[in-house]
This record gives sequence, C-alpha cells and structure tokens, in this order.
Amino acid sequence: MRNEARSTPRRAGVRVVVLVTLLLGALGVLFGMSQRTLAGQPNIILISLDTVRADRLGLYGAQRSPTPNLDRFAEEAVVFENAYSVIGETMFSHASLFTSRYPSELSTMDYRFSLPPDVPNLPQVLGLYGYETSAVTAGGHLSDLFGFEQGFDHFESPRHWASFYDVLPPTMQWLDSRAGRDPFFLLLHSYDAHARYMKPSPYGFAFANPEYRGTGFFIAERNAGVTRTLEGRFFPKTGLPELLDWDEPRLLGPANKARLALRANDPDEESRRVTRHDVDFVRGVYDGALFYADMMFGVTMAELDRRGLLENSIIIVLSDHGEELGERGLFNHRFSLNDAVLKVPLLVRMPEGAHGGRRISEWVSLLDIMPTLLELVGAELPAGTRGKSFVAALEGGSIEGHEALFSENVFRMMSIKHRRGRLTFSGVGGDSPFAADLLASARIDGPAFELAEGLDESSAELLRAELEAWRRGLPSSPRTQREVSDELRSVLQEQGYWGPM
Amino acid sequence: MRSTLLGVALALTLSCQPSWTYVTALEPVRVHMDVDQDGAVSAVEYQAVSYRAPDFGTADSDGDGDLSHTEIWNIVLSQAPATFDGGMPMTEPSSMDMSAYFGTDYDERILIDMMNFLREEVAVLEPGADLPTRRQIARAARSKRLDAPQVVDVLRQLRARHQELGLRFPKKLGENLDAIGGERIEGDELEGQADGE
Amino acid sequence: MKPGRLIVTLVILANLVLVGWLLVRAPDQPIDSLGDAVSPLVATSTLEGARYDLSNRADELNVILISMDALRYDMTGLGGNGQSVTPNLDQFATESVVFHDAVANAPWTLPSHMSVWTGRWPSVHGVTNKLRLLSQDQMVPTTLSPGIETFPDYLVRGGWKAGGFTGGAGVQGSYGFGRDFDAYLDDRYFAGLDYSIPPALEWLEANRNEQFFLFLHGYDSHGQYPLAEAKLDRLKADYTGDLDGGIEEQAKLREDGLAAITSPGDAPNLEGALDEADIGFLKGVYAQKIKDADERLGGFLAQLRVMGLLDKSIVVIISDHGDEFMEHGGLDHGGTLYQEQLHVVMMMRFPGYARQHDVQESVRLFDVFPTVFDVMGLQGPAGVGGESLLPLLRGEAHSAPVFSESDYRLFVNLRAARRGSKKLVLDLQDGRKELYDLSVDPLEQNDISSADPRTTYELEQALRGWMDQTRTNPEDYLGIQQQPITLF
Repeated sequence: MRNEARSTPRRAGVRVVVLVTLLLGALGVLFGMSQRTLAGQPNIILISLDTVRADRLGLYGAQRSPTPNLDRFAEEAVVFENAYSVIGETMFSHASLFTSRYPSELSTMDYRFSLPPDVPNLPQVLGLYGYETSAVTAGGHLSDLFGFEQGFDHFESPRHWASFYDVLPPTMQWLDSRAGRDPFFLLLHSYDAHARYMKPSPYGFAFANPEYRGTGFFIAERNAGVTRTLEGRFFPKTGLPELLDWDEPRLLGPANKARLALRANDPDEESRRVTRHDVDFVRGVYDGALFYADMMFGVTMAELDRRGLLENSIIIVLSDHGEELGERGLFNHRFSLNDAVLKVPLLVRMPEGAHGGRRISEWVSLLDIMPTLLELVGAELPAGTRGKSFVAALEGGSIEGHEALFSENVFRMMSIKHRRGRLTFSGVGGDSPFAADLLASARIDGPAFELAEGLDESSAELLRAELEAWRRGLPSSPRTQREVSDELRSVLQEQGYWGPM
Repeated sequence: MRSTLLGVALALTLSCQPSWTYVTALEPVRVHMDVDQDGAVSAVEYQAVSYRAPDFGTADSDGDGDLSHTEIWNIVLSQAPATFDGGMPMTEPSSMDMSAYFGTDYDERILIDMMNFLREEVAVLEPGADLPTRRQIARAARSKRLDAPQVVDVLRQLRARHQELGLRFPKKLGENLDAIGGERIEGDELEGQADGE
Repeated sequence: MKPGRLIVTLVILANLVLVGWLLVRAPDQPIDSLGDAVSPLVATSTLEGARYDLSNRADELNVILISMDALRYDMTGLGGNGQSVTPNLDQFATESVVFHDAVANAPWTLPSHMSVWTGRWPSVHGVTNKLRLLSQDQMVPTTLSPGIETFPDYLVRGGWKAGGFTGGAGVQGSYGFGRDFDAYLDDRYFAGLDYSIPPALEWLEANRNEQFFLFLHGYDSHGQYPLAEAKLDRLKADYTGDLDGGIEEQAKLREDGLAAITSPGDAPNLEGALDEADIGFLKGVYAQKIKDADERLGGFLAQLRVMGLLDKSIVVIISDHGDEFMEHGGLDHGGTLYQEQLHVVMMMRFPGYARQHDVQESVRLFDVFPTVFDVMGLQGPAGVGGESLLPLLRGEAHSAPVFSESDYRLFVNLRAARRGSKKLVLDLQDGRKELYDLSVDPLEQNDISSADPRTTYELEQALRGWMDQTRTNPEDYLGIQQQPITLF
C-alpha cells in the first residue's frame, strides 16, 4: 500500500527526467549538426610548423620534452612515427605537399622555382569539391612570390618570416567573418621554430644557459649563413656562396673540401673551435625554439577550440622539414638528405579526437597527404600523384606504408631511404635529363655516391637501381620546346606537315 | 533514481574533452621555470632563463612575486617577435641577385653539371690526369647544345678517359656521340611506341 | 486505433523508410536527383538472354570487315532518320547488333583503322601520322612495328585465308595493313567500293570453302572521291554559288582551313569562306556519295546472301571517322575531335543471332575485333586496349574508358574523353579545355567547362592518367619536345 502510494509521483518524476535528458540530447545533436555543413563534410585545418625536427619532440621520444602542447595533441591524434619530407626546404617541401609530386618535376631546382599553374594542387581540387579554401602563411618562401596563392580563395601573409602570433589574428578574422556554410580547408603556417633560435624569453633559453658565450652561441645567433663546421672548426665568414663553387659538381665534394681544408690551416683565416659543449648549446637553444613554437601551437589550438572547431574538423599538424644540429658537422636544413632534415612530425586529429593516441609505424611521406585528404573528401585524384593514401590508418585500420622513400635537394643531391639503408647520389640535379643515366653509370664507390646507415655494396647496387628507376619514372622539368632546324622544317612542310612550333 | 542522474552527469562530463586555452598553452613554461615546484615563478627562477627580456620587476605587473600566465604572455609580446631574415631580400624572384648562386642559364647549367660530373669521376681516381678544364667545360656549355663541337670534343675526351680506367660511360650519351659523329644508330625504332599496351 | 498511437506508428514507419533509403544509397554521393538514387538498380540492356556464343563454330565461321570510309553516323538511318539515304545499311541493321554511340579512336583514316586492326590506342600502336622522325633530321614513312600483332595477323597465323580490297591511301599495306595476306589490293588512291567490290567477290568465290577473313573498304563517301559529273550537275541545278564539288576544290578548302593554324592551340578554320548555300551544296554532294556507297554495299551484301556466305560469316560494318561541314569552322576531318568526326557506324551481324539489337552505351571502335574474337572463343593478341563487348550484349554491366586522339599532321595535338554524356576535349598545345554535355548539346556548341569545373577536372585528369599509363605524350613526337637538349 505504501509502495503503491509513492510509486506514481516517482514514476512521473522518472518520466520527466528521461524526457528532459532526451530533449537535451536532441538539442545537443541539433546544435552539433548546425556546426556541420549540409554535406556533412568536416573542415580540414592543416598546421605547418616550419623546421620542426621529429626526434626532439617528447611524443617522438625526446627525454626532456620541449613540446608539451604537441605531446598532449598526440593523445588525441593519430601519430605517424615515421613520416618523411621529400626535400629539406620550405618552398619545395610545401610545393610537393600541395601537389603530391616531387619538386624536380614541378619547376627548376633552384630559386627560380615556382608552383606551376597547370598541375592540380590540393586547395584547388578541394575547391572543386565544395570546400572554401584559405591560407594564412608566414610569408618567406611560402608566399605569392612563388605561386602558392594558386587554388586558395583567400591567401594572406601578414608579414615575412612570421610567427603564429602574426598569423592568428588574420586567421581568426577570416574565420569569424566568413559567411558561407561550405566546409573549409585552412592552411596555417609559421616560422616559429626556424633560425634564429633566440626566441623570446622565457622560452629561448629554457633549455640552454643564457650566460654561455662559446662558439655555439655565435653559431646560434647567426642567420642562414651557418652551414657546416669542418674538422672541428667553424668559419664565420664561410657561408653558402663560399661553399658553392659553381663549377664544382658537388656542394661538399672533393674540390670544395680541399678548399675549406686550406682555409682551416690558414692562420689568417678567422675560425673558432667547435666543441661538444657548443653543439649541446646549439641544440639547447633549438629546443628553446621548439618550446616557443609549441606554446604558439597551444595558443592556436586555444583559438580553434574557442570557436568549436575541434568537433567537426580534421586537424593535421606537420612540419615541412627538420633541422640538422651538428650531426657530422652540418647545421641548418638544406645541405643533406639525412633523417635529421627529412624526418618530420605528422599528427592527424580526427573530429572529436576519434582514434586518438594511435601510433602508426609504417613509413609515410608528405606526398601522401593530398591523396589522403582527397580520399576522405570523396574527390578524384589528379593524374601523376606520387603518394599513397593513408586513410585507413585514420579510421582504425592498417596501412602498408612505403618500402622506399625518395628525396632530393637543390644542391644536386638525391637519395633513397630503404629498409636496408640510405644511398645518396650527388653531382647532377633532378632537373637534369642526364640524371638517370649518370646514376646508372657512375662508380658506386666513387665520389658520386654516399652509402649510409650500414649499407654494403651489394645493397648499394640494389638501391642504385631503385633510385635510377625512380628518376626515369619522373619527367624532367621545366618544359621547353625543341628548336626545329630549318632543313627539318622545310622537309616537314614539303610533306604537308606543319605545326605552329 | 540518484544513480541514474549521476550516471547521466558522468556520461556528459566524460564526453567533453578538456579545452585548449591560453592557460593550457602557457602552463608548460611556468612549470618549467618553477624549479622548486612551489607553484610560483620567482625572480630567481625567471632570471635563470631570461635573455634580453624585461626584468622581473617590470614583468611582474601585479607585484605578487609570481609570474602569472598573463604576465608571461606579456613578456613574450614585449620582445621583438623572433624572425628569421633569411639574408634574401623579399623582392620579385626575377630581380633577385641569383648570380652568387646560379650564374648561368638553365641549359648551360645542365650541360656543365653533366660534363663536370664525368670529369670528377676520372679526376678522383687520377688527380694529375690531363682532362678538359672546368673553364673549358663552362665555355663549351655556352653553346647550349649537346651536339656543339666543343661539347662533343669534351665528351669524347672524357669517354676515352673512362674507357682507359675501366669506368662505365653513360650508354645513351655514348650512342648520341656516335650519332653526331655520323655513325647512324643501327636498327631499332624509337622505344616506347612498340612496347606493351 | 487512437490518434496518438497512429501518429507514433506513422513516425516509426517513416523513420524505417528513411533509414532503409540511407542504407541503400552510396554514402559518398550527394543526391542530385531521384534518378541518381534509382538508376543503379535498373539494368542497362533490355534484350533478353541472348548469349552470342559462337565458339562451337569457331572452326568454320568467316569474318568480314567492311569499312565505309568517312561515313558519319548521323547521315545514316540508324538513328531513326526519316529520310534515310542508306536504305541498305538500315535494312542490314535489322539483323545486327547496332552500336549507336560508337566513338572512333582517331578522326582520320590511318590511325583509326590501325587502332581497329591492332586493338590499341593510336599513340600506343604508334601509327599516328604518315611520317615520323627517326633521328634529328631524318623522316621516314611510318609503319607498324613488327613487334605488334594485329588481329588479322593472328588469324593468318592460325591458317585462315586473308584478303583485303581497299581504296588505298591511308590503308595501304605499307603502313602495316594486310601483312602476309593472300591478296591485298591498295594500288589506287581514294578508290571506292566500285573499285574494290568486284575483285573482292572474285576472291570470295575462289575461297568460299575456306575459312577466311575479308577486309572490304572504299572511300565512296570521302571528300577525295570524285562524284560522277552527271550527279554533280544535278546537284548544282538548285545551287547558285561558286563551288564545283570536285576533289581539287575539296583539297584546297581543307588545306585553307589548316593554314589558319598559326599558333599553338589554333583549330582549322575557314572563317567566312563559305556561306549557308555552299555548305548545303557540299553536304548534298556528301549525301549523294553516301547514297551511292550504300547501293554498292547493298549489292555486295545481296551477293553474300546468294553465295550462302552470310550465314557462315560474322559481318562487321564500320566507318573509321566522320566528316565536318563547318559545324566547328572547318571542312574535312582529322583536325578536331567533335562528334561530326568521331561518331561512327559500328554494327555486327552474328549468324544465329540475326535480329536487331540496339546498344546505346558508348563503345570504342577498336572494341570490334576483341568482341568478334570473344564471340568465337578466340584469344587474340595480348596486351590490347580494346575490350570485348560481349558482357554488354548479354545485358551485364561493362565500362571502359572512352578516349580519342589526334596529332593530325602535327597541326593539332588533341585528346578527348567521354564519361556518359559528358565530353571533354583537351588541346595539348595550349592546355585549353572544352566540356560538352551531349545529352542537351549534341552539336557541341556550348562549352560548359567553367560552369562545371569539377567534371572538367575529373575528365582532364582521367586523360592525363591515361596518357601517363600508355606513355602517350606528344612530347615523344615531333613538334613538341620536353627536353632542351637535342637528341637525348
């Protein structure tokens, strides 16, 4: 009797609670859906952190992590443990990223390079499939001077060599003022980790002693001129032009080495000794730069989160190349094709952090980004893309990855990284029509080849063959027209053949 | 009843991930500086990592002896944003002074690189050998044609040296040298058209 | 039932329908119309159950390939033309599989025929022009590589008798046609069926008890075939213009059109040279030529029937390309990839299946031999691009990429791709793209490439991917070269 008397109001109460919860849930769903587009496509935000070397991040195994914000992001993202760029320079690396092609097939392999208008690029194709595309870059080599505005509905570089600090306000302005309901593709880029490494305190010297004034301090404070030390000595006056002898086929080839050695022994030539402490100092300051860039990344995430973009966006964080920190005497990032330069962080956060914390060890390349995004969006791939989609890894499945990764640079070098090791060829660039044939004929133990990471000669021959096959499979650029000789021209005309060429 | 409510509340909480904020972005450097882990960043702790930055007195704007997240953010902002001026003037590419790096035309450079490469293969094995000089090569390359006499001359010399040392000379290049010299390429049509699908 | 419960039930049912529908449709495709959702469920072909299996007669059946050079599909009665000038062809269609959307691989005689004979794309078989560059200054006549086997070669190797009776010119044996044939007639230039049929019939008489392949061809409809004076006079009766309808004039007009090409990307153009009356007259001449060709064809087919060969042979009738009459500013053929040049005749009569079977799907002209071989259960040469259309004939799904190309005498470098009713024409010289929707714009007058950039992109990339795969870059030919260094 007592139970019955109490049960009716209780049952009514339960009903109310259930209805309210369902209502709230429905409202939540509707609200969430209002952030989605009509087509149900997620936004895509690509965050490019320039010059961030993978192995110095906590999430890639560094002991004293200078990147706690990125480490936290890694828990919500799919992390690619072996991601590689194809070249160690901003301009070329981004061009490759946006077209899924090697730089040498796009344009000349020097600073006359520009993104060709007739190769479909990522923002352009996304635009065809309903995306609004926008880029706010840090200028420098990722600017409209080199054709990067192509394909973007909105392209802005607030200043050259900018930080996220400069990039975020125009980005937020664009986000807040956009009228459309279309999904968007947003590229954000910053030079926060790039030399100079002396970033604002308290970040810049968080991992190095600000009182230290050895050669390392001198190296860290300089701009791009630093390239390498030679036999334990750093030459302040030896910058890129000095190291580049136009007639010398290899940047660090025998003739250049001989020339530098002479200078090393010249008592009048200004040089400073480089010790272990100097290298450690430079590394410490680089970590400080990463610390700073990481904070700026955290700030970027804060601005995105404030606008509720984390729930319906795919966020990709990567770097276009790494940085050499005194390994084998090399600094900066343009002068070799080692892992320090080419191995980059790559993290993909799916909407609502689905599959967060997953780690993929198969080898992937930045060439794979465009095929992956196009597959996610349901777009058709353009012809001639060189990457492979890794969509399966983002959806809980597995991928094969690449067996071999190819890379090249403007200093006439090209390289294959393989399970067996790395083989680097130097002397002619990827844009030379002779490259493949010279690859085939040169002596494997000669000045043209460098065998690295425990590579024996028979494996080297195998890798040489693969490198040659890769080279032959790519067109040489740029496209130029052959001059038809007058005799041939008249023969052609006689036979009724003529072309406007 | 209560457990249902608790369950719903818990589910709602767990479904929300912690947000990203300026505080979470700046927290790591505070933790890093706070060496004695007393929850505050003191003058000494700040000085240890400071370089060309406002001194603690100025930075600690509310004078509480501790640097808050906001105060750290302001310290960062007060310094010139660290930028890298790559040594290159940001002007139109055509007006950039490329001569320091790339002093020749595209076609010339291709020929120079190729001839120098072949020269180097020999020079490394026989440092004193009588080879076409680099200057000779650069001059020959100005013709921009593979079949120019100076280029053919250099290539023939380099091929002879290769053969003497038992080095391989690039096959197609050799065939072209023969063709230029009036020796017809025997037999086969252009490859690629007859093969496969 | 209480109204409340009724509403709830209806809502639940509606939800079930919605869920069911969402599950059924392909998730990634937006629904543009209800038709999109429904069409995959409807079968493409409506003919019931014909197997088209003649493998049990593979040792006795003959194959006859008749090529009516330069015959446009839309000049025949096959499309339901009220006043057809091809009554014999139309009649034969009532016993044949008729392909109403057959696309030529190339818009002129030599590459198109070679594609049919080899089953390969023109830039793959390599016979894309009459001459080619051997070295820096040496040009030689083109001939099919000995390493490529044609379908007729295959039959010859298998012991079949083989005879070819042609109008010469673009199908001369020197290009690689009729290799090891018992007879191959090609000694005239632009001769018609009036020249090639009599010796063909003689040869058939001599070989009627053998297993044979016959290739019969004539240029009767072609601009370079001279129409009899009397007939020309009759046509001039109602025409007051200056044209005479002869072959020299036709050649001159053709070359004048080509002469307008002066920069990369130009098209043949006779701007203003001809008026409506002129074009009407020329088309009248063309129609008369076709009528004559059809009569001769009819006579030949009747003879086949009389000789009892019709039911012992698979008879294929094709045309290799069409002809332009200023639809896009030029005359003749070879220099564009529009429908008036690419939309061709393609039909096949199979003994035992001799009733009209209409196929509306796009097919490629070089699917002819693979189909015939498949029906007979024969293998054929390996590695070809042409495919058997047997699945289509049996009512099964079949799709293959539809591309066409022209490098006509180096004046143009064009490629085209079809996807359903959408057609892209890509000019490799200047990168220009044109997109047409043939279902609403069959005359290709309205370029919708800016209105539909997505389809334009998709078709262009399909073309470029195909060119990469088949290594069909014109950079490999004369005229456009990729590398700056000669000879390399």
